Amino acid sequence: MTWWHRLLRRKQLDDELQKELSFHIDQHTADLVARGLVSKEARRQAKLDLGGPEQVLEECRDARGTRWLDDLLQDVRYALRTLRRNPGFAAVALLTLALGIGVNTAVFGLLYDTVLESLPISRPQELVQLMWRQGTADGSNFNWPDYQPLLEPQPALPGLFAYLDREANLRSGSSSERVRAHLVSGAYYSTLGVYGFIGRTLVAADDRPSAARVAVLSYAYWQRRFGLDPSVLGRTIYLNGTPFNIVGVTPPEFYGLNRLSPPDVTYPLHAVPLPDGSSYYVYYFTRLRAGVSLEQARAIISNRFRGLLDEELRGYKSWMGDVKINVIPAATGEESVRFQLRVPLVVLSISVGVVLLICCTNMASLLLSRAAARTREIGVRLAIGASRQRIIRQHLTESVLLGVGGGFVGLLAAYWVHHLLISLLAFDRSAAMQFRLHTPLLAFTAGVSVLSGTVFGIAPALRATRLGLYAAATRGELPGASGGRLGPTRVFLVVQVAASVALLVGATMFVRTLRNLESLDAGFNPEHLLLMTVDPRESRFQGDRATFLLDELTDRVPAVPGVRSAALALATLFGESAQKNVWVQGDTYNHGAVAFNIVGPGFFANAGIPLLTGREFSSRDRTGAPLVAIINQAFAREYFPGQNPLGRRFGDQGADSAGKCEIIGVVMDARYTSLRIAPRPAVFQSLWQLAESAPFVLHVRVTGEPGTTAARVRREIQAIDPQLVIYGIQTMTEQVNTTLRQERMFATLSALFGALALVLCCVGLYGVAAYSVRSRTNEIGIRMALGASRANVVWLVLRQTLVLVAIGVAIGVPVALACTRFVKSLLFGLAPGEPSSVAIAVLTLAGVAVIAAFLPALRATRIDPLEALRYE
Amino acid sequence: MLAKSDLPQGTLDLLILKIVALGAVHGYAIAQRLQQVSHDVVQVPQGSLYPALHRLENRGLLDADWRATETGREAKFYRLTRKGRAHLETETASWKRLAEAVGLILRLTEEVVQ
Repeated sequence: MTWWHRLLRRKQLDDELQKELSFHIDQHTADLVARGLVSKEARRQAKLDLGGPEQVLEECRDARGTRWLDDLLQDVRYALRTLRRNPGFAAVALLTLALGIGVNTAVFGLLYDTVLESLPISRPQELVQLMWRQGTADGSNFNWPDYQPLLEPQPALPGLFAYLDREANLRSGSSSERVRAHLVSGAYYSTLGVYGFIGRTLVAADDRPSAARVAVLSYAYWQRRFGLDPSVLGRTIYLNGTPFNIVGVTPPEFYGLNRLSPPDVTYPLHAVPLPDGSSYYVYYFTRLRAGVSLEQARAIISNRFRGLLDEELRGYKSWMGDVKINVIPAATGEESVRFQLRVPLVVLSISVGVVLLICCTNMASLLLSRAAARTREIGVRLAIGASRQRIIRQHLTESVLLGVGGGFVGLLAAYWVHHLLISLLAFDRSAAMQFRLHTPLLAFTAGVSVLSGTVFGIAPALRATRLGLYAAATRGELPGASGGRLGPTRVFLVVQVAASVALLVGATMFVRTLRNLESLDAGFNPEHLLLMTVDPRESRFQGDRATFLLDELTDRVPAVPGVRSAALALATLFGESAQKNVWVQGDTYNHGAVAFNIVGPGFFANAGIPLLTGREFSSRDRTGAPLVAIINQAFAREYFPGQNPLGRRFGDQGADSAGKCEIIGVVMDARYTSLRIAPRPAVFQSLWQLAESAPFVLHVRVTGEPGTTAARVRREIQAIDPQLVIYGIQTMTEQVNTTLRQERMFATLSALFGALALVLCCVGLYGVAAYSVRSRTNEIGIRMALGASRANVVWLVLRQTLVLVAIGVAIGVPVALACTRFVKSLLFGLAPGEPSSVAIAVLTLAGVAVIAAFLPALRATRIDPLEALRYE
Repeated sequence: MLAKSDLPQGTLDLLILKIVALGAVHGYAIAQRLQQVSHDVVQVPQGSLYPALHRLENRGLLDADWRATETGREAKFYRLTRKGRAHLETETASWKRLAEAVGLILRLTEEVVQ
């Protein structure tokens, strides 16, 4: 019989036991009667020999080994009954814990999905990624085609592959849309071991320039765009205007190697030739064969790379010479995901840990004050023979039960917090980041629930049983214990205040960082500036005809109602900016990279960037005319200090090209990639001169509401040619805001956590002040009878709270200062531990504390001295 | 009358197993048998007999069923399981070894004293 059988059939077992023992007594009695005793005396003797019937019964029950479970069930029933009797307490407790556990669960979910969970492929632990290191810089992106020879088949690492991630325009039938495309080398799918859900995946033979162009869809895209139609196999789609044949669909669980940007479509790297002079950034992966260690793989790759430098890459040796190749485990996928999320996840994990600490201390003080109210009951139980251990266990059952209940509600909270996190981190909508209830997540929640239940329950349980019998004999109050009784509660409150101060200091600094960035002058006017990308590659304006489209657009777009002016550029003024190496004439030194963009006539006026000297581009600066350029102040300062840059020349293809391009204007500095980065040297060239068949960005200055104007502009462009693909419609303000998403996330979440901490602190401080007024009624009455004024009494109560807050602040502020040093790189426009931020946090908390303590203080002033004295 | 000594720790289980090994038997009979075989030298409190029986049953060393006695009443009869028999053998062996060792030590000290 198993133990749970014994547990479930308790009643039957008890009956049998009874029967067995009465048989024993009857037999014994019969024997004694046979020996000559009278039957009444015989029965008495038999019972005596067996011992106390209840004791024997109990011992036999203990022998079943299910005692602890019986007790547990009893404790759970008791705890539920107690909680039901006090629904207000239960609700506050559950809500507090649900929030604390919920935010931790959500952050754990994010952590698990992005850095802990292995890729859904077989033997993911064998997958490794190549990294480069040059000096102190390192990265996972390799220049293609420079590093392409690394991919050549080699016996030691047969599975080496590369992939890159980019957006593409996908047309099927007559409708086009932007999709996320992964360009992969031949071994990609075979190394990963991913085969077609329908059809096939790509093979090495597909990745040759001469091969037929084929593509593979992801399951999600197949579902979204083609409704899981199997006849999609063999259909032709156009990617940036190039036809591809669909040969298969990947399995539903496969999301590529980067969870944050799963591909809609994959096609071979060599399917479309790379335009001359341009390059990609690719990621390299391979699989370690059984028996090959990470160190061996490092050695093999490094040797191979050294060998390449000696043979094929000889020309690059001068600058690639000190590059080292490293190999890191990649069971969880692309390294950049971990890199990108490292700081947010660390900051988030610490913050939610502090929030949970606050929730637990709050719960502990709530339970403590309740334990104080139950002292008498516990005293009585101790007096009639309950062991202390038993009562502690029962208290812990109650708190763990609360913890588990909080965990269940916390899962709901986690669902909500997860969505908040995802929206704040602004992941791609297609990111494989749905909230999932998987075993590790549930195990984490269960662990946190039980652990917090134990942590916040242990002190109140110990405390409640310490007074023991004394409490039963008296009214449950210790004489003169008005202060001492609350000892541990005060400790918890101090911890809570300290943690809250730390959170509030962080919140203030993150909110101010966001404010500083938002109010920063970027050097251009982002208001009423509408952006839209136009892709001409499928239209009749291909190749050399691109300038005709530019002319058409500059003529027609400004005439659209609601448009003040419009200008074109290859890239958005603010966003991911390109770089270019420049060689200034009369200067043999390579000055290195400057920011670079290609813009059309009137671009700077349209963007609100003042022209300092010279002129803007005009439509006469087109192909065939002398090459001209406009530079910014920073460029002028760095390369032509104290000189007039107009008429000076530079080139972008080595020292020999230095005379190629003439500077015709200088514009004011602006920030181009990030608000955090001070203006860097930048050079602009004329779009009309360098027009190619590539997507470009229309910058439209609108007078009214951007949405309606955008629709009109879109119609106007499609009237030029319906095959012009338009995407990326957004305002410049939105574009700027996306670069602030991490700052916004920190500001929003830390403000949220800070507010939560404040509310909990308020509850805790109020509780203690109220309890203190209640237990000091007598003393306050005497003071008032002796002539204490109302102000004296209010101060008496407030002082107590303020002392707690002062101690908490004294601990919390240094902790906060120590922590903010770690987030220094996340701040902007203020130093870590800046006094005014600390002051704001401390004053907010003090203000809340005064409000929390004021109500009980007011109640204290209404104490009737006579009543209070009679109370004793 | 000589003072009866308490049963050494852990020996009650061994005695019970030994008695049950002779054939299926109910609790009262075990108590009787214990008293007889120990010649009233050791005291077996009847109260501790039943918890011990139940413990052994839960450990799978004893098996029990309800049967009618000679007098026609239903009683719970205990039998030794295969596991119980193995346990009895190892315990008996180790008990004997212990007893011999203790005897040896006692003889040794007697010789030294002489």
